[in-house]
Amino acid sequence: MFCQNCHKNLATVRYAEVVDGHVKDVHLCPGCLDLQRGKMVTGFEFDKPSTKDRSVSEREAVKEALRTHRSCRVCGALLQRLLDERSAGCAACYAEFAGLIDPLLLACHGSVHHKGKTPHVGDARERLRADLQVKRSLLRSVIQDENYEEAALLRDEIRCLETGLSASESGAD
Amino acid sequence: MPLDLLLEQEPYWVSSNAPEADLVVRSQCSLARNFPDYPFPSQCTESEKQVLEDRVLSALDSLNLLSAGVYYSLPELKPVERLLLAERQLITQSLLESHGPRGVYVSNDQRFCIMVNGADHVCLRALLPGLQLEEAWAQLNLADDTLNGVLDFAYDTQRGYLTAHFDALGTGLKASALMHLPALEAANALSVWAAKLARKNQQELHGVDLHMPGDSEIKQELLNESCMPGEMEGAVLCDPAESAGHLRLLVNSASLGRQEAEIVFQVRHVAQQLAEAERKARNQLSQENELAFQDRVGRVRGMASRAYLLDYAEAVRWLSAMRLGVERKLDNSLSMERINRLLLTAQPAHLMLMREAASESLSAARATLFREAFDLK
Repeated sequence: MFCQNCHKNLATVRYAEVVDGHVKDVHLCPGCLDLQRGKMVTGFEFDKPSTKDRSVSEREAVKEALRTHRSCRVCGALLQRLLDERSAGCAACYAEFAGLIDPLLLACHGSVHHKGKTPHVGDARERLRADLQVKRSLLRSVIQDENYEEAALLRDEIRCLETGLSASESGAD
Repeated sequence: MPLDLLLEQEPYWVSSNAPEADLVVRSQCSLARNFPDYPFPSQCTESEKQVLEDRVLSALDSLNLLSAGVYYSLPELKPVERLLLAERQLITQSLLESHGPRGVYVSNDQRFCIMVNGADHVCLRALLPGLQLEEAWAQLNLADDTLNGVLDFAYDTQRGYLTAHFDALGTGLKASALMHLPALEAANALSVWAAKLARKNQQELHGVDLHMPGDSEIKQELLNESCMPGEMEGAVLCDPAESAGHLRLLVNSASLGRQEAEIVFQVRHVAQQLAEAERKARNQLSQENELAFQDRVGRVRGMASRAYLLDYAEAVRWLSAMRLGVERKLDNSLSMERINRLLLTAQPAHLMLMREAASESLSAARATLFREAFDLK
């Protein structure tokens, strides 16, 4: 693509500018980009008091526009689509947009940290420990609900798990 | 016809021999898994979907699972056959509606299925009668461990199993119970329960959501686009009873930040609390006016034995009244199993395939089914 300013050189940079609240994308060559930057600096210096506030909102607008126009480098899914549909295009989207989707995940699940099973199924002791942890937190929850029947069942299960865990640990020693 | 075997055998969840089967129609656990080296199905090309389907099939073959069930390739089935799989909860709405190579492996007893190329690359599902969420999860967990031995699934140490939809991220687990709650609905207590669950969420009872009417209406609109002409546009085609007939789906809304056993426990715990409240409300209603109960059940029996046109929504309402009659022991000639069977077979694709009903005469075929089932003679 040729530069949209001089129409002579090859455009190598996409330049986003906010005009009256609207984002305008222009593809420029390095020379015209420098020119454009020069203009921008002059403009800012010309009207210092009013541009201080405006530049913050403009920067935010540009940031927002660039943010939502971002796409996954692996599958090409747009960040905007991810946010609107609450779904990803591929597994890599989660790493690609890590910080940007975390607020959504937090709102949806109340957490952004996985505590469930892992693909490694070999370590039986790890599993016992994890089960024990879950049962203990469930016991606290049912006692709060005054569900003593369920609590008694959980207490028995916890004892079994504790016995199993100590046996496996002494066996390993 | 490839679905003959499946049609011949009733799904296992129809059985009423299960805990809380009078109030809980079925328990269901689903587990979403994806491969790290391909985009999720919505972004996949047809050839990529074919590679993924082949990969899953060869894994099933290496685990000798194909001898204990059947793999149905959806493009090879007729639309009505695909709809039958959806009516039996063996495929999801997204799998029904998507295109290209995709399918479902169904175990012979229809307790367990593995969907391929739906919303996620792989979705495992276990269906059991009554309130048996722990048992359903145990079955899924075992199958997941087995598949993990031969397939590499997309996993991140912070976010867990990576899924197409954010709402299944982490464990990938959705545990649900389909419950019959007419007395709580009559007492206008369901909204109170929904609010109570929301409050509980803040007190460590996270992730349980009460689906109120409306969800199935949305699904209905989606399904109407799928393929079916005529009368089917007015029928509830999938997840039939989520809003009709006082049936509600209790499901975890959060899947990240909790262990699987915790999620399943919490849904089961709330389901038991709901069941207890429903029983109390029924006792109260029954004490206030038992004759009204008997009248409702008797009238429905009468209408069921004499109807000539019956749409599915009305059929589900009638079955709801009959279910209440069985639980209150008002009608000894009925059984929960019989009602569950009718809930299943009165659906459009079942009528079309089992009774060879034409799509434009489903109401008549359904009424005939009910007349045969409830004829007083």
